[in-house]
Amino acid sequence: MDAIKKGTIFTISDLENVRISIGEIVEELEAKEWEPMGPHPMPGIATLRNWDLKLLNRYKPFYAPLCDMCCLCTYGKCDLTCGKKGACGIKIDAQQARIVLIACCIGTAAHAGHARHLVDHLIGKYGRDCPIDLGPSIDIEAPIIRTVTGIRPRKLGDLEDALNYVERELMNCLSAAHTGQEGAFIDFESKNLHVSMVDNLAKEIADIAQIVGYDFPKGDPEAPLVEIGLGVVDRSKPVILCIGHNVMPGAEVVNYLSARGIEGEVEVCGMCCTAIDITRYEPRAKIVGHIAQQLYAVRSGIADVIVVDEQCVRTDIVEEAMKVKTRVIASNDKICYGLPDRIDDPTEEIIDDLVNGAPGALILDAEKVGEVAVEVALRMAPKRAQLKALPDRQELKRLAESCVQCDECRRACPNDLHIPDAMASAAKSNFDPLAKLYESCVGCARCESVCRAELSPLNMIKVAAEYEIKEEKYKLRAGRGPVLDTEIRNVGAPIVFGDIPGVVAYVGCPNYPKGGREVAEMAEEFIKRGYIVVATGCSAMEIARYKDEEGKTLYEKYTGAFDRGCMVNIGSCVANAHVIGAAIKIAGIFARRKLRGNFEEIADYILNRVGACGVAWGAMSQKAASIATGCNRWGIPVILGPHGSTAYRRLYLGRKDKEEDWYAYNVKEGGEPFYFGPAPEHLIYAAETKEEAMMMTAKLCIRPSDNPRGRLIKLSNYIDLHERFYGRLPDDWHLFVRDVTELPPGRRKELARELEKIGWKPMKMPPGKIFDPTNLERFRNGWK
Amino acid sequence: MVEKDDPWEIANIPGPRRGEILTPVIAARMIKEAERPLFIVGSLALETELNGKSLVEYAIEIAKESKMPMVAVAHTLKAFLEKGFEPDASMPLINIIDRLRDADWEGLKGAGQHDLVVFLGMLYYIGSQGLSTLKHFAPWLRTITLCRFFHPNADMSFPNMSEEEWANYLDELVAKLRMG
Repeated sequence: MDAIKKGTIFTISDLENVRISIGEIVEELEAKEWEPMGPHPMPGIATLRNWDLKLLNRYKPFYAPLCDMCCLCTYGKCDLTCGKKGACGIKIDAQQARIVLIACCIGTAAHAGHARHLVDHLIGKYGRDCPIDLGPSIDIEAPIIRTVTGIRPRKLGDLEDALNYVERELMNCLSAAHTGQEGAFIDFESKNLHVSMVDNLAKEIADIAQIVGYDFPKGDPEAPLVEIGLGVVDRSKPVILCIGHNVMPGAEVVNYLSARGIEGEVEVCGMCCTAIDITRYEPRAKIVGHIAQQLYAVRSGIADVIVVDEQCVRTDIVEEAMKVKTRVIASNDKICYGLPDRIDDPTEEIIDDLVNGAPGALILDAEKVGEVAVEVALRMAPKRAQLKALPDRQELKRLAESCVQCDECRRACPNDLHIPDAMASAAKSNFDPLAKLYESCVGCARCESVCRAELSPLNMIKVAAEYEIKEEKYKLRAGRGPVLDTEIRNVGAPIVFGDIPGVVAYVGCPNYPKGGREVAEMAEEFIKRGYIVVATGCSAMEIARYKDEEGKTLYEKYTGAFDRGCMVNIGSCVANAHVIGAAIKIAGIFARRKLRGNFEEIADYILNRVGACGVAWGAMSQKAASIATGCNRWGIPVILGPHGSTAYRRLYLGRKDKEEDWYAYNVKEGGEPFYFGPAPEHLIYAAETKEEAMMMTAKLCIRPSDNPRGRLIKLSNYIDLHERFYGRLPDDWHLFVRDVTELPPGRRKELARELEKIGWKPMKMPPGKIFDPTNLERFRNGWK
Repeated sequence: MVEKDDPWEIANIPGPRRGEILTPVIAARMIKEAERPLFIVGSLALETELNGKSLVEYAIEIAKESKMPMVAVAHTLKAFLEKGFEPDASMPLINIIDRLRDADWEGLKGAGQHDLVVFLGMLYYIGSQGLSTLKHFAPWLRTITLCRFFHPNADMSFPNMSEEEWANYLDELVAKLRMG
């Protein structure tokens, strides 16, 4: 039967006992397909297993169990020490991989749920046919969606098709964590890689939806500077504080203020990625900070109304808000807090109840949230004045004197902060040591849970650091979203060949070992070395919190264009997809590789040629685990901070001393295997100190495809950083020298002598000294 | 108050198998009796001083008196070089742990996998995780820690103690090692 063309009218008659079912409406195909379909559209759990095993053979899973037992079923707890098996037969390595799978599934589910909420809402508002247009400088609008699913999303409805695939794969992967499913750690890891790749997809769907639906910047290098810090909030006005990751309620607060014509009369501010996304919608909104500052912000009493949505919100917000008479509106079904469901109640009734003392309300309607939040804030502000739940500075000495020096606070502190010493100083009226702890404090308040004297070290730290906190007034660039195709055309070749030594992405949560200043320091180090430096989420916010001697943050000092020496805020957690998207675009635009349904070839390309490295210095959450593992499947290495070695339990480590692990095929030389050196050495790695992280960042940007000049530049950076922090040459630098022309010219003779001492031999270089590496057997004799 | 063998991090209770308290006398004996001991010094050595003496200096004394090969992890190498001491290797903590859990690794000197690993100056939580890896995946190894915080994942660990007690412990260890 011929396909019926759209618009055709036909009649059916003279039929009895017939049931007609109409399935999916298929749009008329374009005259030419936009690209031939690759081999792996919408891969299932096992479709890309060979690629995973290839990666995992080179970067073997390394486990550091946080717990020696399994407690997941009622046979447990099962002791898995010393090679013992659990009741289901599982051993400790598989159990760690399984816990990682559960964590990655949680992370993926967070992003997928967020994407689903956005897509459903925006389709409801604008229709499935609302076009996706990211502006004239972006043709590859959805690199991850194209590569993984084979879909080129032209309209919002197309995002739903990709989301359906996400949800299917997430369900399958999570089911594999059930008792008596997967038994081999290596295949648990394959599933981790798979569900985390799906996580990247969910993030891209979410961010494209909100860019389109809320008219966010579309890769604008000149995205406006926005204000950030507790000190930027104008407390003379009513204050609404939105916390979480979903922009919908915050956007409706802005819309309601605009509709009432009172935009300048209420402070709209936010914390976590909600804040980043609200300021992408309305640059006059303000960012208070990230998750580590949540409790400080709530207890300061600045907010008349707190609106929570989803992810990374403190679970005791209602209890804390009640202490300062701040009202709480829960706006998302992920976080209900036991609050009464008021969605069907008249708005005025809800407002009156909240103003008259009800601690909070659950309102699962973003528009209604917008109205209620504004009206309650307007009425609450005059009543609340400067309420806060903090002691006065005068009380600090008295409180500190009651510290019994039991060390429990220090033992409970994730960073082992020397709180008792600071208390001892405060008891003698020296509050500086307490104030200094503010920068390294992750704001978890575990200290006050254990304090035998019933003190709150967190509150005391805040009071001691009050001056610094009031001066928290910084600027960061609003999240710009995707990297432009035009930018990729400029930087694609320099990145692949190494003239731009690498792309470094500072991402992830603020569970830093020694405060966030280290992130800003690392970022500026690499900006000055000509790397492309980008940031997202909490890291993007953290980088903004430090000024130079002229009072400028990195965003004010350096360009927001994706080019060497830049400082780019890509956006919120879901905008992490654009970092991977940039790497995919290099393959698609510079190398003209086909993206559609072609994951394996593109990941192979990125692993061999795109010198990118993620640094998740304070990674904490399950989302960060799935983001990092997703990057790994694409061939992008990630460095975690020292806390990452703990909760994440698992790394992917290479062994540079095993030469046999570092061979690839050189397509230009008829597929001859060639040794390319341990580049990148690891896929996911935990550094102990920032100096180690910086050294490793430079090393992990080295790639087999570097041309001699590019290798020279990258090697120079690696050697320079190592000599600066370690006091001498790295003892593996010779592994990355293929030819003496790659030695820095100013030190060529000296380094050549060092090479001679260790018996180094130059590598056989291909014609033109350009390698054309692949790990895929099917391409060894040519790219077709 | 914290007990001598409580995990320093309150919630660091890994499971049914946990380490025992170590004394300087036992530590010295274990080091002397080991066939291929290895000494790993971490980043806290750069920030710790006891009675005006840096932990880096203590580490050098222990390495010299015991003749154990030393691995300087994180970026501690520079501090050792500035004191005129050359560690046998400098590598990230994660890298050395990865090699210690490999039964086929020939050891730092190519003389065979190690049988005793001695830790000093690790950031507590990354050190604890490294010890967990070795506990589960390197059954041929015994691990001891010389920090002033108890590590339940080590086979044996110095107990929780004050800085003053710790200085005494380290002095006593050096003295016992010197006795031969």
